[in-house]
Amino acid sequence: MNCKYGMTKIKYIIILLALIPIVATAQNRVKGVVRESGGEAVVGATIFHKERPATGTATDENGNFSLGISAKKGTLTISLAGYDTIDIAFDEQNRDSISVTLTGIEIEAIQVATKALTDRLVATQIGAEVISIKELAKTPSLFGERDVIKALTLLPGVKTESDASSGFQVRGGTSSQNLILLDDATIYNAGHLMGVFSAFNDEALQNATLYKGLIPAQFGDASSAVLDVISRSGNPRKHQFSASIGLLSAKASAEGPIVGDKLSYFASFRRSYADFFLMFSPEFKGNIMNFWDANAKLNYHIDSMNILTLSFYGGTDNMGMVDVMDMNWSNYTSSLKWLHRYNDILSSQTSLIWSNFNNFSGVEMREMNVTFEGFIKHYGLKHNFEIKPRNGKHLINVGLQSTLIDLESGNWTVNILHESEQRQAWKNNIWVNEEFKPIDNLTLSLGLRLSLFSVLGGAPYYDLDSRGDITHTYNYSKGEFVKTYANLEPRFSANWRISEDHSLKLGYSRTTQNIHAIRNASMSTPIDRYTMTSNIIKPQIADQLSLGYVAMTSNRDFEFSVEGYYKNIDNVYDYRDGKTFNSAIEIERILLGGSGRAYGVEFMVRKNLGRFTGWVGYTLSWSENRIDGINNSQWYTASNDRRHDISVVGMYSFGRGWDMSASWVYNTGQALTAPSGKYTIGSDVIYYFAERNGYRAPDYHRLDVSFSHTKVHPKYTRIWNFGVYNLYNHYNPFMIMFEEDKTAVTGTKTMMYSLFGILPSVSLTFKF
Amino acid sequence: MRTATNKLKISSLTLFITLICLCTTSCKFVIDLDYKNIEPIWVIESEVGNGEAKVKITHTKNMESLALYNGIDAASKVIITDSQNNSTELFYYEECGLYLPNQTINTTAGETFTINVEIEGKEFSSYSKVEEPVVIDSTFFKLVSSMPPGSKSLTCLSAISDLSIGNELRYYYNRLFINDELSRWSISTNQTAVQGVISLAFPLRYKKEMKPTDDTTRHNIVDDGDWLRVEVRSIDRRTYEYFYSMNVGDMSGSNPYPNFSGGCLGYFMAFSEEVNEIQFFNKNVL
Repeated sequence: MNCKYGMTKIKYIIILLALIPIVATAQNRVKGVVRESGGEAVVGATIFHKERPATGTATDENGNFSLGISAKKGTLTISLAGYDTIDIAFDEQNRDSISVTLTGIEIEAIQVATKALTDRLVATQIGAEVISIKELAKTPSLFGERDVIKALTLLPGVKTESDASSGFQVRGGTSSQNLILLDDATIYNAGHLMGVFSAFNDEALQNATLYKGLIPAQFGDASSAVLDVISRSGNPRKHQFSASIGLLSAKASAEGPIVGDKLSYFASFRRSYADFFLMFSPEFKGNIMNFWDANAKLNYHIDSMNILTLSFYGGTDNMGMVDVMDMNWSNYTSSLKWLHRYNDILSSQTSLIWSNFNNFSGVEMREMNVTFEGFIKHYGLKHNFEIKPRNGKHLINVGLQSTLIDLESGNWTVNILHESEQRQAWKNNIWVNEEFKPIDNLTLSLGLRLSLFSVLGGAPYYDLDSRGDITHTYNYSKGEFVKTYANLEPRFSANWRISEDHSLKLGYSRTTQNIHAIRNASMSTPIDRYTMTSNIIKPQIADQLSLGYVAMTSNRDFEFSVEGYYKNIDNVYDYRDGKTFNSAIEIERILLGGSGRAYGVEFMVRKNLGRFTGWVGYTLSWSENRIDGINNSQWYTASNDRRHDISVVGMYSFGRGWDMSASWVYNTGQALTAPSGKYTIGSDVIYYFAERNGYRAPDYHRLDVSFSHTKVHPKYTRIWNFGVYNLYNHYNPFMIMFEEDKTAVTGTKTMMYSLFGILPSVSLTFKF
Repeated sequence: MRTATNKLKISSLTLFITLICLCTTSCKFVIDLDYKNIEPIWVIESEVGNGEAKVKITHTKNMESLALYNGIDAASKVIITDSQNNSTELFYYEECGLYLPNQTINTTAGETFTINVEIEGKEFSSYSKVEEPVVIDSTFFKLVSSMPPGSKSLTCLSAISDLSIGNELRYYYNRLFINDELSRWSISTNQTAVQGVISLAFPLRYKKEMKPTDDTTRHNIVDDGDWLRVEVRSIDRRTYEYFYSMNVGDMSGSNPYPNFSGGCLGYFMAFSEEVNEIQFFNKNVL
């Protein structure tokens, strides 16, 4: 067993914990809960002491808030983008039990934006983007679907991998370096129909937060970013139903009380039906192409101190050709969460978490029967204490998580040949994170996370030579510790409120990642091969430093922000030259490890108020890798490097239920490896590659537009949504291939494959 | 030049609207890429087996150069040496663009050969081991399942027995010739053997069943009376890995494993070979 940090380091942790000030003073507090008109808790609403705006807080995931105010009476201002702002008076009688109901402002579209500027000025976390499903701006929809991940990619520093991919890249990282959580459970390959849809049905979501800069110590296992998605709880007061039909899919949801306002439910189901139409086509009747997903959540308010929630997600994609080819992949997750409030200061959240991602592909033709499959299963327990001392100047999170991971990196058959590699690991994390205000205008967030990753026996482990050949095989018994990696991950963030309208932010974070997706191409696919940290493969370790500035006009209408970052990642893995995913079942034999680095600066100008809202974002960035044995061991441009990234988003409310939105995106073309010469071997033309990713694909740009009309009837609401994807029909690069051309004197040609031209869409939704 | 292709021909308007998003808008274009030029790199293709040897020397060309790859007389020395240090020099023959020996080379299984080539003062060398030969039990033609679903396609199948002892991994380089013209090559291992028999499959097109629009320049078109020759070479792992990495190179954007020392491209293959010939008649297709 190799433990990098022994007792001495653990002592440091204890000392650090002890040094964190948890001193409660006798200051008075104002407490309450913020709900929607339907009764659902509102998460992330900001509450300010109107007479002293520098004093503020935000609601937690149950809608609760607690704000230290010494004045005996005054006024609170409660606001959240997408809702009417409310002022409410408090005095000695109601200061412990303020109840606020927010009313949404035309909220019937997925709305993506960073939080209102006031939040951005106050928020300590640098590089955190909160996406509220019922917040602000309406972004264009694709196929009538409002896609949280597609919308994310309109923010600076976040880019889509390519058309037909639900993968997103954050600050020079790859999509495999992101952690996607749904109610604490991990989702892999969060896409349907090869990425045309994301795995998240917007009807089932409460909110989502993308941590692209500083990741709080409660989160880890991602060397690039964490997307934390919270699913929706059912309305505890009345039954509500929704049904929507679009060009390619339909969905329905239901929610309401089961037992009084104690127990409520939410359930949604979505399915594509393109394959129903395929049956009528002689040419395509043998094709299979469908997906479904379902979300369900039970919420049990046991009493004022205890809430129990049980959530479930399941989704499956099927693609193939009858009797020839079959491909499917699934995500199933479930979490049981117990929220317990001990007193005004201390609360806890305990979760049992399970997730299962699996994929399968098979081909049977020309006397060959080939199958490939793999899975990743998580079984976990998470416990987090939240401490809010009475002085209102501290917010402390202390917790632990323990997870057993069962991962099959490959299981294939080629006729009678059958090989598989399945391994287990035990992951344990302990964290402490404190947000506090040492002085009025300065907020600090200090965090420390200990990551312990133990590789477990029960499967062979190896020693390899420089060629990747096995020199020794270790056979540990099941459950035996093969190797333990211990890493301390410090997190730091500071927000200096220079004035009412300006703030400066600084952040540093170290994160580790132990599940690695290995890809031949720059784009994720549902059949990517995954592996875990082992005796040979080391944890990815990412260090990121960010510095940002946010300013807003005094009327809060316009905001400007700029953030710069530098990130270094150790133990980045790629295939050896001449190897592909099925070159060997022992995955370490086909990989080489190295380093990555990314740096850039993000600019954003927003208009927040009025009929017209929107933003312009620009990112200038670099992303590079260096891996011994690849590109002559020199630094090379990473395939996900996009030097310039621009997004322009505009939304206009015409009134009377009509809304319009448009977005234009531009990226520098993807870095690609193209040949610099050619030669023949036998009768084949072989390309000579002088350097990795030394060329660029053509630039990517497109304009999307959508209109929606909402009509509120006494008994139901009807929403039409019309969208046009890629309005000016620009074909963007999806794949670049180098092919023989017998008609050309050079004998070769460069082909660019594109997926989507102009795509109209329409959807109709009823809610009642 | 733009060559948008509409791959779907669907009569149903509904189906068209549904699938337009996924299929009909996909396009492919020929684009101009500003290729970088590099200094030419020598390429050596060399083989020894069945008592013969041949070496072809070329060099890389820039991507936008003419597609001519004839062997050239560039080497001042081409020597193949066996395990007993018996060396054979090869000489350039203008008519075929190859370096050939003036004598038969004894290539028995188990023997390792070394090649040394000198070009413009630079030395390049490689080595390869002759493996035990296989036995081709049978070669026949069969209609097998293919794409699109439900369709069958003509395939030449060969059943191979490897009599080598033990569970060693064995490697093969396979070629199909139609009327002495190379149709297709492949590499394989004995991992997929069923009861010791390895199956090789070469897809074919029957000339009389081709549509007027089909590509007639393909190298796998057969007609009644054509002679097909299947060659199976037993090769060593080093050679197999060269061809394997060459196969996946286009996909991964990487060059084949270096097989020569000295910085040139290409390979040196020592082999033992088994050959089977069969005449094609459509009436005999299973």
